[in-house]
Amino acid sequence: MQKTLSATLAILVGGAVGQALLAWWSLPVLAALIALLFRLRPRPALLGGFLGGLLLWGGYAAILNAQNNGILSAKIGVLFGGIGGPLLVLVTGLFGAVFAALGAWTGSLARGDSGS
Amino acid sequence: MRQIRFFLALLLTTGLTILASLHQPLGSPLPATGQFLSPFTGFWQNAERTDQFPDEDLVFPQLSAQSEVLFDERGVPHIFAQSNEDAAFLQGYIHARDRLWQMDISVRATIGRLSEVMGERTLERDRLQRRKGLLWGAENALKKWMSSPEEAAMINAYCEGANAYINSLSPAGYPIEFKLLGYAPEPWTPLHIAAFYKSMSEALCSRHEDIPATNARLLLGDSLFQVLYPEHNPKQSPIIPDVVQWDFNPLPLAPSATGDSMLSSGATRTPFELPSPFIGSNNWAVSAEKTANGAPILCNDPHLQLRLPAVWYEVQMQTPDYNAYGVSFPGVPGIIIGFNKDMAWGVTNVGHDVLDWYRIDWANPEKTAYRVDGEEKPVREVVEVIQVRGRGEPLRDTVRYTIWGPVTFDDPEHPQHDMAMRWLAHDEPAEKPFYALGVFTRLMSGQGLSDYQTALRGWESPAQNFVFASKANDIAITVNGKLPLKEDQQGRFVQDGSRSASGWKGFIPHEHLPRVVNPERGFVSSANQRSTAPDYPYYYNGGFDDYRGRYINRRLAEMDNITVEDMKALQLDSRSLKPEDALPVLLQLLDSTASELRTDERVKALRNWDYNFTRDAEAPSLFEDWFEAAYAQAFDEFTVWEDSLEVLQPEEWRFIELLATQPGHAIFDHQSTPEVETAAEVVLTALEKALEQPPVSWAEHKSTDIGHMAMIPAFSRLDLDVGGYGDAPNAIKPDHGPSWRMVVELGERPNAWGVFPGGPSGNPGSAFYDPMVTPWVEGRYNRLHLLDSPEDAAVKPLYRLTFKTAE
Repeated sequence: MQKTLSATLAILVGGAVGQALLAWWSLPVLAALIALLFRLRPRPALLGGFLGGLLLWGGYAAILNAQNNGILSAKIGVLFGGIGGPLLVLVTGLFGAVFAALGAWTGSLARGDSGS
Repeated sequence: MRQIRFFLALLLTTGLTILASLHQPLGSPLPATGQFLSPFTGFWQNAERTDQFPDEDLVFPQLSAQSEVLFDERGVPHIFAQSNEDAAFLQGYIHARDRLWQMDISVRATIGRLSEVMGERTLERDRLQRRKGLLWGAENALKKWMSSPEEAAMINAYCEGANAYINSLSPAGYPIEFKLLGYAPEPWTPLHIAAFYKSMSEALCSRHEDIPATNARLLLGDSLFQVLYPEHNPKQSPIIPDVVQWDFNPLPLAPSATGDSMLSSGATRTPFELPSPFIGSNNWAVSAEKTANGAPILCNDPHLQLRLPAVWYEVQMQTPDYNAYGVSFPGVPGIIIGFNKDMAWGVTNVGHDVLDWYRIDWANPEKTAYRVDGEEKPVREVVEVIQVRGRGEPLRDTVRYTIWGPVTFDDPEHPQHDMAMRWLAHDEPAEKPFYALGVFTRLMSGQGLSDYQTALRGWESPAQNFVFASKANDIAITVNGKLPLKEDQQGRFVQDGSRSASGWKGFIPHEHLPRVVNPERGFVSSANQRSTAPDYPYYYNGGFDDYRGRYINRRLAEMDNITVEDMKALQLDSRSLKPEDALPVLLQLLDSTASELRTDERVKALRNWDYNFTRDAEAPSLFEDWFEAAYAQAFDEFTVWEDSLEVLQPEEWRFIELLATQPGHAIFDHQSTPEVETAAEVVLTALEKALEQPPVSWAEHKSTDIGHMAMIPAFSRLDLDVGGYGDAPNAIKPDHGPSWRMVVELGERPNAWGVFPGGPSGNPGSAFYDPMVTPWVEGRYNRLHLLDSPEDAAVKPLYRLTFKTAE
């Protein structure tokens, strides 16, 4: 569990530093590298990646949304089928979560000897 | 097993990642989802902070000296620079910072470059824009502008400023529309500036009725045509008052082109959608003798398309040469409508027709040559290359240019494929000491009447009614621009392009343009009505307002001890002379029948109506429905023709006049019935039809929207609860209206007020995107602060950008 949480934290920190400079798809790549580095097994990798992605994307979106008083998210929410700003934060978080989880999972499977 | 699982996971992750990185994946309209949703690079980055506005220091060695831009509480920038070029650089920088996508898309739409970013769906539109010669016109203008050192310096500095901002952007910083549409901004060039000017010409002076008028004359015969389409409304109150004596000897015209050179044959459809007939504006100035404070007041409210981001960008610009405040167009340098401490200026559109069609006499079936005065002339072939997103090869389109202009339609099935377009806005400007941009620099630095008069010499197109007032209590208005010299009726119909005599006879000399300075009546005004009374020695045709100008002139003549508040009230006045002219006639005709509708409750309410198109009133809705139904029934012949032909509709003022003076005229007889109907029957049937509609408020009936430029509803302000009427001073229509309201009293210090329906920022994620829409709807104004210096205490700065030349 501790390893999973460490991986989550690593994704959070690594993403916060790297995501602004790199393309969005650096997120699954980062998660894969961290899973590999932390020698995570597939399930903890999925969980750690999911939490890391969720907190990274959802958390940052929530901060930006709050600083903006929700002006933009209300408008973009309309483009996304009429969802409200808070739900859009959640959607953003889940999107990050899914791709970080997929990346971490793939990374965990890349190691020949783990997870067995 | 593990390896298989790994490869499956890799495949799934990579596949979904690629899918989420594609713009419009699987044919959907979605942007690249991953990129768009990422809070690090996507739309969340456009969610501007509303709580903090830190000052910034920027370094640009291109500047000659340190400069500053102060943003006041409303987010309006006040530029303080040490030279005009530096000011242009800063204006380019902040225009790009606040309105980059608007700038980009406006120019793409004008010169036919939308398909580069939108793909096939805009290809036909692009092709038509190219064939209309917009790009050619922009290149012609630019050639001359860049030959003037003053103009070239301004243009280059502005572009450098805009590009300084564009180059500082990473994809995360792109305006949100670039992210949605999936493309990147390109550098701003001098050609973009010229193209923007052409977009204004297209909106303001490309309207023409040659083909529908030719068709109408063909179908109706000349005598009925003349009855239905007189050129002068006897009730007109022209821009230049009738009392003005023309103090020049008019130029003689070259040999006549009338007769067979004005063709009445070849009835055809109009080739492209004409600019909205609803474009118009008001401006006026009252002299000190008529005002309460003994200071002249100037007012202007241009009626352009209501859209977001707004057409205008409010700004103060100060250099050692000028200190001016007003509104600018994002994409071009200078202040278009504004004031300084000594004077104020404004514009409305001149409705003269400067686009004519000429039928080409081809010399061979390949159409490589054509005949003029019996002589063969080769066409100039221009190959337009249109890049199309998602398509390997660009589209290459050959356009034939004649002495008249481009042959706009190449499709042999198209009824207009043998006509060329003669448009003033294509012309290279005549040699002058300065051009369009120099006009505004001179107005911004002007100190009085002579500076205004000098400035106007540089302006060609689109022709504008430039209004002026100065602290020294001079007021003036000039119908200003390059206007063709035409003989009687020339340009009303399609002309014979095989004779050089069909051409324009030259241009009205600047000294002969209609103008008036300090008229006895104590005010000057314009609202797109005819420039002059019929005694002006030069012929002109076009599209002119019939109600706003008369109403404004009537009110200004009545008013005395005028205050700024009175002037705001006149801009916000929704009363119209159209119902004042029409309703008594409609009611009189109704009363001549025995119909019970004479005492209908809604009709009774209409009888007591004050002709004011207020938001909540129902009477204006009924009037509008009744009037429109009566017009449609009177001219029912036209609806039959409309299926196959574009036929000019008579003007509404003429319809009202015919109702009043010739109720037995044959036009009131329905084509579909054996009986002979008169105006009274038309009016009654129309009322029955109008009463079928349930009563609704005028705001609901009119339904005003301020739509986003990419038609994204969430970025728009829809269904505004607002009054106003196209034929009233407060000319709010469904999607056009007062795009800027300005009132300036030129006292010891200018007392200036203004509002436009939008905000400084083009970013839908900014609190400054549309904060002025509600005040605009409610008829409120903001105080416009012309600051003396960046330290001026008149405003509380929100933040400052300091532009240094070195670290």
